[in-house]
Amino acid sequence: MILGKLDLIGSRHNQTLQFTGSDTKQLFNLNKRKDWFFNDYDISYSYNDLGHRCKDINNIDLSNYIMFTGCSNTEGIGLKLEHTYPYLVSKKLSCDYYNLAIGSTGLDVLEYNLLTWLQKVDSKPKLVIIQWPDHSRFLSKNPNYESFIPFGRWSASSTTIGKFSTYTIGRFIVNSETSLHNLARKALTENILFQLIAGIPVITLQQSNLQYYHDKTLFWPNGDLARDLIHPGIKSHEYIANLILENIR
Amino acid sequence: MQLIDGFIGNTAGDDLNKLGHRCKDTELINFHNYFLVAGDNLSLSFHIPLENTYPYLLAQKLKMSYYNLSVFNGGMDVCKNNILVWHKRFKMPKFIIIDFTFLNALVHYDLTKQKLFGSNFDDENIKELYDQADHNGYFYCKKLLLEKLIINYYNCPIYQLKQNNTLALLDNGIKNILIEDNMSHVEIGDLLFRENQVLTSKVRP
Repeated sequence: MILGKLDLIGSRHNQTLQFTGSDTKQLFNLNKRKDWFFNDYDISYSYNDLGHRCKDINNIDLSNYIMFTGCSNTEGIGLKLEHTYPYLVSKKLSCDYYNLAIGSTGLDVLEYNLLTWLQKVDSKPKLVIIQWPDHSRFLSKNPNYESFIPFGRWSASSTTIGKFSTYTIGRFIVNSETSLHNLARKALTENILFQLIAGIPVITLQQSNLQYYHDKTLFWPNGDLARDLIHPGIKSHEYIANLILENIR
Repeated sequence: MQLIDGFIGNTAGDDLNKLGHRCKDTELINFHNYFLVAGDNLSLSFHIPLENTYPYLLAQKLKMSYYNLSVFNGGMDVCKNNILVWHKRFKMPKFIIIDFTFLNALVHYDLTKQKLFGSNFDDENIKELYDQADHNGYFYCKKLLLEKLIINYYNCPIYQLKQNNTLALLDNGIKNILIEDNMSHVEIGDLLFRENQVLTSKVRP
């Protein structure tokens, strides 16, 4: 995950992959069983030149597009692009879309990328859809390396991540929660986003098992699962797409 | 600290305006000729009268208005909020002064979600939180992203006051002004005045 063109954070720039993130080949082989829907479900994860899972900015109709941002749920891990809710919503609305979502990332990346996009790209989206990630996630960087490292609750259960001690990361997340720093950070991010996006319609949504964001956020319940058996599946993405479309109406 | 009309302001201290900032209300600012201050304790200096603080003295010398977004022990989270919301609401300043004594200061919420407050360093878990944030790259990354946002949002000159033994927010695209220990506000104001004169003389043939 690096800072690329337009100063945007992206991942897997210009790559096309069969597996990515939690949707690994090892996990797929482990989960394979007779008559499983995903046995012959080939996914092609294509990332554009800014490191996002959508078309290149040059191929987007910037006069008629909507913006999606969030984490792996919005990136559509475990699903073909055509089954992801950003694709479904934009198809239904007959407009283009850009998807800034990056798996494993939290509010810091969401906020940074969205605000950078709004400042750098003159054409504003007609609608912004924000999928709130787990608020305890954070981005880290060692000054000596180009790459950023996203951390979250999963980091505390790993053995080592680069030079960082997982015990320290786990304790940092716990202390951020108990000191209510995470809550303050979340409130300030919401404030900045709503203040700076003012004038563009916004829809926010979150998974129902995550910590609550705010009153106007739409929730989607746990439903079917994608190929990695971790992320929302085809029906769940259809549910999310319909939820958004109903709220636009 | 509290959130008022999108901005984070101070809740304690003298000469606070409607938003909790130590300067005139926004309605009284001449937006055609003003500079912006964003930082924390030095630019506030609650222990001395407002008229003796360097932002006030500099504004007098330059015959300009100014707005001081600084919040006591605010740190990067507060600076980011205030400086970006300001950009959305008001005209671009002639220049910005960035000035941090405690760049990495974290903010916390109270349980009622009504008030923000600074860290209580009597709490061992808070001390541990700062050590961990330093070691796991949280502070460094936060600084890097905020620097990018400020440079991308503000295309005006930026001066950064660098105090001894304190961390600076910006590394690129700015003019650093070194502040010696025990330097008075009059001296800081004079330093900034001279820097501004140099910059203005370069811009105007």
